[in-house]
Amino acid sequence: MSKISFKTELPEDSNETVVEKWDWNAVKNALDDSARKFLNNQNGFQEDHSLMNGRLIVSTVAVLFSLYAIGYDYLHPFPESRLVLIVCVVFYFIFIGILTLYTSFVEKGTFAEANYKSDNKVQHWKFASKQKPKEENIYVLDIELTDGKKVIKKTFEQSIARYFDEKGALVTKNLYQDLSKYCTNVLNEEQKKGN
Amino acid sequence: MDLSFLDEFKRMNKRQMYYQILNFGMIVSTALMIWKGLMVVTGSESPIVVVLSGSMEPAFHRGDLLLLTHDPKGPVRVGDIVVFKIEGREIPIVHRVLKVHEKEDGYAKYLTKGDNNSVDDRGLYAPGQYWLERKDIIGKAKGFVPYIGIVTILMNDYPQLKYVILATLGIFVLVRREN
Repeated sequence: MSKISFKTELPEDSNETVVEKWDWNAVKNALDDSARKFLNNQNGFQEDHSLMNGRLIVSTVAVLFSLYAIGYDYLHPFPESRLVLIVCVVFYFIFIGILTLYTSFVEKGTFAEANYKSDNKVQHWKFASKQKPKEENIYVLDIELTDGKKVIKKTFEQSIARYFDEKGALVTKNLYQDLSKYCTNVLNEEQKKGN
Repeated sequence: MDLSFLDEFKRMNKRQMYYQILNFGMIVSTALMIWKGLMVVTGSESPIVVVLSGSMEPAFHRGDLLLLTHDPKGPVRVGDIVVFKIEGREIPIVHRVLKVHEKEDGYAKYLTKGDNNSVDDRGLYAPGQYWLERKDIIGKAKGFVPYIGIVTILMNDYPQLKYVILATLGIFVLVRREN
C-alpha cells in the first residue's frame, strides 16, 4: 500500500486565529478547528460528517417535538392539548437523553472525521480531543485509524503553550508539525500490524 | 471590549452553525417542556405564579413563588387558598375562601378575602358580581418558596430590563461555542 505523507502547509484560506489564552473553550475550539483543517487538507482525504450528522438529527427531532407541542398548545389551549403535551414532553426528554448518551459514548469528543481511499480500501481517521484533568494546560488528542478490521488508537498530549504565542495567536506551524508526526506514527503502527 | 468570541463564530462551518441554533432551541425548549410538563402534572394552566401584592400577608409576601394545582372537580372548602380570574383583570388573584354555598345539583358559589385586607373581595370582582363560580377558580395554592420571585417583580416593574436580559442571553448562547 502506498504510504501517505502528511502535508504541513497551511490551507490557503487560513487567517490568523487569536484567542483568549485563559479561556479553555476558545483554546480548544481553535485547536480543533485547525486540526480539522489539517486533516481535510491532506491529499485524497475526504471529510466525513457522519457523527456530526447523527448529533444534528437527534437534536433536530428533539426540537421538533418541542415546537409541535408549543404550536399545538397555542392552537388548542391546555386542557384540550393534554395528551399531545404528555407525548411531546416525554419524547423531548427521551431525545435529550439520547443526545447526552450519544455525545458521551459515541462521539466522545470527536471533532473531525475523514476517509482516505486507496487500493479499494478505505481508511477512516478520527480526531477527538479533551483537556487533561488536573493538568489544565495539556491538550489531549486521540487519533483513531480504522482500516478494515484494524483499529489503531493512540493518544498524544502536548501543552498548549507550544501552540499559542504570548498574544494568544495560534502557531499553526507547530500544531501541523505535531499532527503530521502523530499521524505518521499512527500510520506506521498500522503498517506494523500487517495486513 | 473583547470581541474574539465573534471570530470563533466566523470560523464555524454550516453544520456547526446549525447546531448552534439547535442548541439555542434546546435551551429554550427544555425550559418550555418543563413548564408544559408541570402543567400536565398539576393540571393548572400556570403551575407557578409569583405573589405580586401583600394582600395575603403574613401567609405570602411579595415575591414568594407559589405552586398551584388544579382539579376542576375537586372540592373547594372554606380556608383553602385559591387562585381565581376576574373578567377584565389580566392577572389572577390568590386569596382565601371565606364562604361557600353549595346546592344539591352541584352548583356552588364562593366568596374570597385576602388575609391582610380588611374587607372581602366583592370590591375586586367584576361590577355586579357578588360570588365566584367554579369556572372562575383556576387553581389552589399547594406550596410556596419565599423570595425567589422578586426577580419577576423587578422585571414586571421595569419591563425594559426583561428585554435587555433576554437579548443578551440569547446573543451569547447563539454566538458562544461550547464543547
